[in-house]
Amino acid sequence: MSAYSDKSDAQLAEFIVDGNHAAFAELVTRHTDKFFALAYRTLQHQGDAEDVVQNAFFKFWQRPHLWRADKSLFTTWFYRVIINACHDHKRRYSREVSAEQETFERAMPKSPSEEVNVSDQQELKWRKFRLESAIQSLPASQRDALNLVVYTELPQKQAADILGVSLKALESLLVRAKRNVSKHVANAEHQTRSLILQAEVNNA
Amino acid sequence: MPDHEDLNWLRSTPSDSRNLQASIIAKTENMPQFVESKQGFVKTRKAWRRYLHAFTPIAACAVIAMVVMVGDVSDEQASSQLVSEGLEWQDIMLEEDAWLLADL
Repeated sequence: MSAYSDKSDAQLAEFIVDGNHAAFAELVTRHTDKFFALAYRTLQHQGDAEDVVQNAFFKFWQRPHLWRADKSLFTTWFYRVIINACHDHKRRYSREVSAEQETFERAMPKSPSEEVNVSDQQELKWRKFRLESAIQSLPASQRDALNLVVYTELPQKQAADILGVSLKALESLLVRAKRNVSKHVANAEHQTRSLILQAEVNNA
Repeated sequence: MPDHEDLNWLRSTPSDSRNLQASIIAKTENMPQFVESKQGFVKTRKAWRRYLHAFTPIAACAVIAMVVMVGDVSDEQASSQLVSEGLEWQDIMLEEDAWLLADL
């Protein structure tokens, strides 16, 4: 427990502007988890997410005056910084399939005949994989809304502020995101069932 | 939409965030900082002091090296300097030879 643990983010920022590194360390310790979680959900790559969070904190240390405490909460502002950094990172290093997804895919059954004997655990992996693919296939605005509200569990008002949209617009983004995810998962399951049926016919 | 179990899985992250936190804190410790002054322009703070502290020995060595280099005048310049002090080039040579002989 540091000497600054009872200070608010705004108070810490005042210390940071004065070059107080201990206050900065307290802010990093307090918030890194949630910013990393959002970066990881957006980028689907541990190393990339760590880089994004680290660089964002470096920039904040160098230019702490960029956050205006009177305009927004620190977390609201910094989530926005992280989301923008993630989008920049994706544009710059557009990985079609991340290394972790590749590893995950390698663990998947490759042919319908393999899938006929799929175990419960494998089935669970498939479901997760389908869901993750569905989320990744969403337009960026819907994916950001889903990540902030469903996975990062932020209040909708704060999520709307982070994304710079009205509460109504956020709700609309969430409805569309959920609908698209459901559709994507249903299509993938339908395709899988067709492949299993085809394999059974071929084996018969 | 996914069931509760799936959501928990998706919320989990692979990082041990303590490592990330430690890395950020360690790397920013000596990082220069730019802050906005009351007049509204951005200036460096602490950075100067930190860098000055770190580079003082290097800067001192560089200054000494420059002084030595500047002070290392050519033979011609040395000669004219000595002449101006009332000594002839030949005298210097003789003195040098004598010193060499004495050394032998």
